[in-house]
This record gives sequence, C-alpha cells and structure tokens, in this order.
Amino acid sequence: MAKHARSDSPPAALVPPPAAGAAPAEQPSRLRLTELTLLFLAWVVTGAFYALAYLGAQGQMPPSYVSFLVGMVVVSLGMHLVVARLAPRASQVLLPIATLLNGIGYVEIARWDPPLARQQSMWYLVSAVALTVVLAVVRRVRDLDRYRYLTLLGGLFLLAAPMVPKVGTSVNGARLWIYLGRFSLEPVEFAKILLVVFFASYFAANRDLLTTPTQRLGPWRIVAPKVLVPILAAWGLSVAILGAENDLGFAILIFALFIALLWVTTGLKSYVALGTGLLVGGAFLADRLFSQVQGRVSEWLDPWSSVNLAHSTQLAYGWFSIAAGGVVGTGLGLGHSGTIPFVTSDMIFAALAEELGLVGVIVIVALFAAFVGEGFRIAQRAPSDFVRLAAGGLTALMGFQAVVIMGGILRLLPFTGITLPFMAYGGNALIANYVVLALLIRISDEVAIERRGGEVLIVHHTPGA
Amino acid sequence: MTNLLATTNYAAIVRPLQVLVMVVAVLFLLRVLRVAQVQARPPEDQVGRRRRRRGGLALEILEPEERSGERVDVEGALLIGRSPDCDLSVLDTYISSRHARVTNDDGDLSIEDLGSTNGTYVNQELVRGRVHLAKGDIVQVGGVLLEVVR
Repeated sequence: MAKHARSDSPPAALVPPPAAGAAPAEQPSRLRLTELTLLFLAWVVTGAFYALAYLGAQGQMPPSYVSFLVGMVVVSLGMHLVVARLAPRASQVLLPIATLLNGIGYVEIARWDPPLARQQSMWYLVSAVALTVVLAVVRRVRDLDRYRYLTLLGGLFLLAAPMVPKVGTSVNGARLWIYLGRFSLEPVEFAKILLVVFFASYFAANRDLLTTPTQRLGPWRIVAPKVLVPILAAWGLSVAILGAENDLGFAILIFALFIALLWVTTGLKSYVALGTGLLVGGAFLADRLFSQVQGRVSEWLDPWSSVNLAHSTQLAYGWFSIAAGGVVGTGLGLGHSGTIPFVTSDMIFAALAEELGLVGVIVIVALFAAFVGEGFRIAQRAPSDFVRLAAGGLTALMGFQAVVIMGGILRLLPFTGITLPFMAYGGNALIANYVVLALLIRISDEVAIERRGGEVLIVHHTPGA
Repeated sequence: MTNLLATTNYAAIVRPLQVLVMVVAVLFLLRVLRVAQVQARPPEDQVGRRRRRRGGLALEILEPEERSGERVDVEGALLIGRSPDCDLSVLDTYISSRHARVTNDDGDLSIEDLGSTNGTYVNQELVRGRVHLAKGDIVQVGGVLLEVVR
C-alpha cells in the first residue's frame, strides 16, 4: 500500500536544506564547463576584433596586444572562478554574454581613443572587484527584502547627491556628477539599482492589495488609494529630482521600470494603460517645462531644420555612419565615425554599426536579447515574489537601457545620453552593470538551489520511486 | 604609413577575416541558445526521459483520508469537482461542483481553475490561468489534496 505517512513530511521539508542557502562557503566549487567554453569564444572574438581593428586603422598589430589578451583572459577567468566558488549553480551564460559585449565595446573604444580604452580597462578591473564583493556580501537576495525603506532612502539620496552645491557638477547640461577629491561619481547609475530593489520589495509585499480592486469610483472599481501613495511618492520624487538635474533619459527609464514591475506584479493591463497615459502626459508637460527636453523632442521629430541641426549634428553624423556601414560594414578600423561627438560613449552603437554593418548590429542586438531572455527565465523560476520581481526588474533595467539608447541613435525614440550596457565607455555605468550581473547570478544560483531543495522533497514524498 | 594607404591595403584582408570572426560570434549565440533550450526543459526531462515514456504523470489522492493513495490517471482532460459527472468526483464541503480541470498534453500536466468558490492552489499558491504541474507538486482543490506523481 502506497500509504502516505503524512507525519513523515513535516513542513520544514518545504524549506531548502539550511546548509544550501545559509552557508555557501561549504558548497564545493563546480566545474562550469559551459561558461568556460562560452568565455573562450568571447575571448577569440574580442581578440580577433582587436587585431583587425588595428590592422584596418593603422596597418599594424596593436602595440600591447599580448598584455591586452592576458589582461582580458585573467580578469574574466577570475570572475569565472569567483562565480564558481560563490554561486556554483548560477546561470552559465550571463557572464560570457557580458564579457563578449564588453569586449566588442572595448575594441571600438580602443580603436577611436586608446588612452580612454586604458581607463576603461581599469574600470573593467574595478567592475570585477565589484562583482566579487556583491557575490560575497549578498549571500541571499531575499535578505535585501528586509532593507526595503533603507534601499529607497539610499536610492533617493544618491539621486539627490549631485544637487548638493560644490560637490555636484553639471556636464553637458545634465547635473549628474559628484566630485569627491580626485574621484568623480555618477550616483544615478547606482541609484537605479537600489530603486529597482525597493520597487520589487514593495510590490511583492503589497501584491494582493495592488491586484484586488476594493474601492468604487463611479462605474469603476479601483484599488485602495493608500497602497499607491508610497509608490507614487517615490516615483514623483525621483522624477522631480531628475527633472531638476535635467536628465530626461533616466526619468523615462525609472518610470518604464516602475510600470513594468507593476505589470509583472499584478498581471493587470490597466496599469500599463495608466502608465502609458502618465508617460505621454508627463512627456507633454516636460516638453513645456524643461528646455533640454523640448530640444530633444524637436530634434527627434525634425532633425534637419537649420535650427535643430545645430544640436542634432551628433545624431546626423551617427546616421551617416550607419548608412556608410550598409549590410556587412566597412570593416573594422576602416570606418570614419571618429568625427561623431562622444563616439565612445553616447554614439558607440553608431560606430559599431558602421564598421560591423547590419550583420554586426544583429549579433549585438541578439546578445542583448539573449541576456534579457536569460534574466526573465531566471525571474520566471524564482521561488518568491520578491526574488521574481527583483530579477525581472534588474533584467528590464538592462533591456530598457539598451532599447532606449539604440532606439535613440536610430531615431525611433528621442535621443538621450543613456549608456549602452557593457559596451559604452563609462566607469560608473560599467561597474553598475556588473553589480546588476552579480545580482542576477546570485538569484539564478538561489533559484537552482531552491529547485534542488524541491527535488529532495519529492524523493521524500514518493515511496514508490 | 598614412591612414589612407593603410585603408586601401588592408580592407581586402580585414573584411573577409571579420566575416570569419562574426561566424565565431554566431557560434557563441547558438551555444547560448542551446544552453537555454536544455535548461528550459523540466529537470526530470534530462535525467529520466525513458522513465517518462513508460509512465506519464498522474495524480495521487492525499486527502480525503479515506481515498488516500488512490491513483488518478489523466487522459486528455480530467474534470475535478463535486458533481457526479466529473471525472474525479469527491464529496467535500469546500469543493465546487465543477472546480478545476487538469489537462494532459503529451505527458505534460497543467491545471486551470474553473471559477470555483474557494480557488485552486498548487504548492499553496493560488492558480491564476493555467499552471504547469511537475512531479511532487501538491494540488489543493477545495479540501482535496492531490500529489503529482509519476
């Protein structure tokens, strides 16, 4: 008789074995062969591109080619080993995708501005340290749930920091930088990660209240307004701060994330409709209120008028570059994107489109798509609402950034100075991207452990097996 | 070694080589896709495909106590409820007359709630829409507890 001794399966069995989650130090390092293979392919592609770019541009091999190869292999292999040690069951495709995107971006930076590329390689090293620190400190992502309002405060503080006189500085019309001695920081890059964690935590805790309409308003049933107050306050504050700092890109990014997470939490399309309405309304208002926004919109709609061309030259150069690239590209090192202002940061996508052509752009977009797809797959399998929303939010953050800047360069959207994740030059952005990567790796490890915990439970339950 | 000269000389070398490297990048992508495809399969798929072919997933009653241990095979669709014309008809206080439907789609079981009063739960989570069932899942339909077994 397959009689179930129900007393033999205590509720404690539903919790993963404590050793798995609490003491990852006891987990053995695992051979992550898939990750290693993919990393190897990423090295081959990056190394070959680097050589080709120099051959094309200067007719010679890069001056410090060996040290470049060694540096890339050592740092990314280091990250691989850190992941194997601290998150042995994590997804094996995220790190290689990031490494490849990073590598292709680096080649393009080095091709136009070698001194800047040396700085970027320093930032790459710092990013690897940041990844290690995050994986070592954040042992369980769900622990972040406890610091809900601390993350909100931290995020808002970072957003507001550039407004402090003397410390904060305006660069190209947007007040986003703070200077501490010799170091400059772009705190908004880190603020957005904290805000995503806050949104995830708050939405997860209030999911039922957000989903179930309890109040009546005329013919409609709406959710209790008091649930929405802290969210709307957080959103209003971040948008107000960003408006004051004159940075349209991040305001749109934060808002899009907000709506995406609300949708993921509740599954209600009405939030998306509401959000789109608010976005259009907000854009209309911003168009009236902020001169920078006004300029960006009119440059987007009518870039060729003589008034707008003064500002849209950067974009126009970018379009000429993209057009020159055609289907297969001019060839690495053979393009002429060097005249585009900010080619290594804002416009790196246009430069890549010229030298690698449509084919290369498709590969890059596919890499981003694979990264985002893997992120959402992790989110889908997450054991709790908070972890699911955190994974979904962090993934959406990367995806939105890529879409907003690529769309901006292709004139599908108004152009904003958001950096292309992993590819564009920018120390803070790169570090923040690797922090997001580390969190996603941590979550995917956690998901795998919990799944395994589930399997142990099954064995326990099935006497016949 | 002016730039112009280099351009004319090296374009013919760089461009074909670049295509080659691009092929490696595409290999990278294919490998990523392959990994995603393997991981997307439920874990039991990797260990025991043969086992699955022998016997698909089924349901086993845990509660009510008096029917505990009874195995319910799902062929096509299985209607669970209080009504006697349900495929699995249970007399229970909390079950609706047509409570939930379990569908067998080539060995993959999924459950959907049919607008019941007290809802359907899989591993203590309320079922919204259709929920995929895996071995070991505990399904609660009203006061009836079912386990997904092989």
